[in-house]
Amino acid sequence: MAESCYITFPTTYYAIRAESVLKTQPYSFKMIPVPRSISSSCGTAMRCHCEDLAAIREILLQNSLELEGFYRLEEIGLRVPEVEEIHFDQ
Amino acid sequence: MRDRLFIIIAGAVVGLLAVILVMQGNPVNMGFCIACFIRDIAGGLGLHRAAVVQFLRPEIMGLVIGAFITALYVREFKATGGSSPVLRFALGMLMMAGALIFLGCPLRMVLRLAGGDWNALVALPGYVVGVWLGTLFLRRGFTLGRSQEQSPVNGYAGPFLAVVLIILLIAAPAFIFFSEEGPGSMSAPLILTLGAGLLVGVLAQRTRLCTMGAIRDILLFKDFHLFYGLAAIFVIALIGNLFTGQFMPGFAGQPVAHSDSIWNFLGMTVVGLAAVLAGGCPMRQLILTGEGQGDALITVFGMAAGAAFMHNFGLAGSPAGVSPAGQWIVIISLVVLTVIGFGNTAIRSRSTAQNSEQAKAS
Repeated sequence: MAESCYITFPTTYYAIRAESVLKTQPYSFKMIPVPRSISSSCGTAMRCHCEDLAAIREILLQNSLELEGFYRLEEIGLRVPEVEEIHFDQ
Repeated sequence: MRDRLFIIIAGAVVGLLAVILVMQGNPVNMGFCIACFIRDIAGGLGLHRAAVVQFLRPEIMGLVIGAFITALYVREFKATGGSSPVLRFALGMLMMAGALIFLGCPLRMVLRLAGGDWNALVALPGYVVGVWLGTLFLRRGFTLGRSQEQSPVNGYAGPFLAVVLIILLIAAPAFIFFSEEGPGSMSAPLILTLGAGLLVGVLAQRTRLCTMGAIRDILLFKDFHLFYGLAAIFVIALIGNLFTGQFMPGFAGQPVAHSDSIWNFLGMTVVGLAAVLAGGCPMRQLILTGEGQGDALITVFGMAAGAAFMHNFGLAGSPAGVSPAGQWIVIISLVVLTVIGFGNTAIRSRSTAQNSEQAKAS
């Protein structure tokens, strides 16, 4: 069982910028195609530890990046992953 | 894990179907070729008069309808559009221009490689270079802008046209052209071609199989997810070709191919770059059309117009090679793509700058 969190972006450009912004930060993350269970769009998402999500979001917003959505995914073997959309208060 | 397994299965099915379609009558190494098939449809509708490549290829309609039904079923159908339609039309035209110089879309390039056509081995690095150039524009901030949600009727247009084309194919009225010789006259039976299209439409919708995304994601993020699908197509088609005696290694005398290496390379560079800027390879554009994306449908229209343009003016490659005029088209295409690339990066950064200035002011 593995749980990870994902941030999606409106365009690939923001995904690329997010990657360069976070490179200098002490968080572990990986850029991957948006998981199929989140969306059918072929964009790029950032995968990170769920405990880092809020902090990463804060950093990205401070760098005036446009973000689309936040998700928590629980993958259990080959079963359909459970997806939960995370909403932050503005 | 689950996603990876699915995309490998999808790729394997595409590779297997491609071999079966050729065994049952499709032109060699052309079990699937999105660019060639759209070109054939343009010919079947009389948009160009190259008599050997005119046929309403049911694989194309199957892909769109398969993706449409799947998207409806899983509630992913969403009519969207309005993201730089003019440029998307142009990118579709350029993508087709490059493909008709090489004689195949990226999917057929992989299938040609699996059939032992080493000309595809020259084209592959060209394609990678094209995608790499595209990622440079992405890194600079290239975007065609966000699409907007539209009324569902917009999204139904693509699947509706696909159904109309199937009716025209079956009814075969006098104004529809059917090649009597050449690649356009060779096709597996309708039930197979349409069925294969539908099945691949379903699988590609579920997995987002994309020959451009496969290379782009490696170059941008070192992510190999989509590449597994592409690799599976190649491996299974190669095994299938070896088993059925369709594997014929060499450069010369390959079916529907030529050995003008520079133009094979550059033709696919055009396709790769155009595909990145358009956000998907020719096959992916069909799948997105099925999901209701008007922007993708416009790109497909651009491809059909590009095919008509290339054949009406004798610019397309042929087994004899690439004509001087065709060579000029490759150069012009690269220049136009560069202009589109820089143009939309500049607009983007300017408007972003304006936005942040406005934000500061307020």
